[in-house]
Order: sequence, then C-alpha cells, then structure tokens
Amino acid sequence: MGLRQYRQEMELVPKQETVLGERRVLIVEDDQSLRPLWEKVLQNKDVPIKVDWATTLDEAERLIRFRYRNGAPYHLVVADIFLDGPGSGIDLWNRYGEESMEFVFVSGLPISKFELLMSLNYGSPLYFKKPLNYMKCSEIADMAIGWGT
Amino acid sequence: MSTVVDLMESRGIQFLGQEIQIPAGVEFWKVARKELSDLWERVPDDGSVKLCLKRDGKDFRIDLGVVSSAIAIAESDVAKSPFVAFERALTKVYHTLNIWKLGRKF
Repeated sequence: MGLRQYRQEMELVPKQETVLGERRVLIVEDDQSLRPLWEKVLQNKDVPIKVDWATTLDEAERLIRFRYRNGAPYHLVVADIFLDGPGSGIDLWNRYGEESMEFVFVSGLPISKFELLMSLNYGSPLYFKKPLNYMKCSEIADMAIGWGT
Repeated sequence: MSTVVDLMESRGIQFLGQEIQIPAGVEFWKVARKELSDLWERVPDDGSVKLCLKRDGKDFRIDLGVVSSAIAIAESDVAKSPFVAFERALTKVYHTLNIWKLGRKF
C-alpha cells in the first residue's frame, strides 16, 4: 500500500481529487431546462470549473458539508429561491451562506420582492433576475474564477 | 425526539443548549445528532462526545469535545449561522482525530 493510499484511508487526503486552479461551483436549481445553458457557459471558461448540481435544499446542504469537510469548499453557490421539496434557497443562505466565497441568488421574483425577503435575513447576496441568458450566466460564473485555489 | 436524545446520551453523546432559540432549530439538531453519531463511531470505545451551543452576541458558538482515556479534543467556532459554526468545529475535531489515528500507526 502506497503512502497516498494509506493517507486516503486515514482520511487525511480528500477522496475527491482537486485539479490545480479548479473552481468549484454548486448550482441549486430545480429547473433542469437551464442545465444545458450553464454547462455551455462553464465549458467555455478558460479555467477548469467543477460543477455540482442540487435540486433540493437537503441535497445542497449535504454537498456543501461534504465539500467543506474535504477541504474544498465551493468558490461559488448559485441558488434559486424556490426549490423542490421543503426549504428554499434563502434557507440555504441563512444556514451556509457564510461558508461560500460567493453566493448568488437567481429567481423570477422582482428585485423589490427579493429585497423585502432579504430584509428579514442577514447579509446582502447578489441577485440575478430570471430569465437567465448566456451573458448573465457568464457574468455569474466569472465570480468563481476571481478566486484562487 | 426525547427518546432519541436519551438513547444517544446513554451511548455517551451529549447535547447542551437545546433550549436556545435558533433559526431552523429542528433541522440543526437533526444534523447535529446524525453527525455526532458518526463522530462517536470513530472515537475510541470508551469515548464520549459533547456538543454545546451558546449565543455569542448576535452569533452562535459551538463547543465540541471528544473525551476518552486515550485522547481529549476540544474545538470551537463562532459564526452567524449555528450550522456553519458546527461544521467548522466538527472539521477541526476530525482533523485532530485523524492525525491522532495516524500517529498510533507508528
């Protein structure tokens, strides 16, 4: 058994290998029709971007905890406000927003309603109103690229 | 829920601060119970695990400890979200525990 395998078994090395310079992005979105758009945007960036997807609050939280526990927190979390199942993107922000380097909300809500929702919560994350297009997604993705490894 | 907590306490897993009002409290303690059960499985056989939640001004403080005859670990973190404070403290505990385990191999 090599030292690296030994250290992995002792959980001293993350089991998920990270690529040098790789940016890690979590997209929390229950509308799967947006997935091809995001994939196209992220593939066209000059840096490697590892994307994880979640459609529910529970799934997103598990991914955030997993990444953090393995020493590789997300550079960017993009979350819709309304998700499948119980809980919302705002719950995710309230519980784990501090853990992400960048956190962006996307939703069809008018910005005035979003600001009203956020006035009841801490912090002021960025907000992009749907519908999303290539330019908006690219601008959001650039926020992840701004961070080092 | 009190039956579950009683069972965990009989195994050596303690929770303090459950009376403190926190956002998404039910979810938080559900996560905490699951994670502390997992942690307890990884500590020495005579080990116990304790989580203490407190207010720290507007923030939340989590103190997390592992005690056994072989090792004692105490880590804490403060954050706006109890979920984040817990996650950070837990990661520190696992880091120390894993290094200790590695050291036992040599």
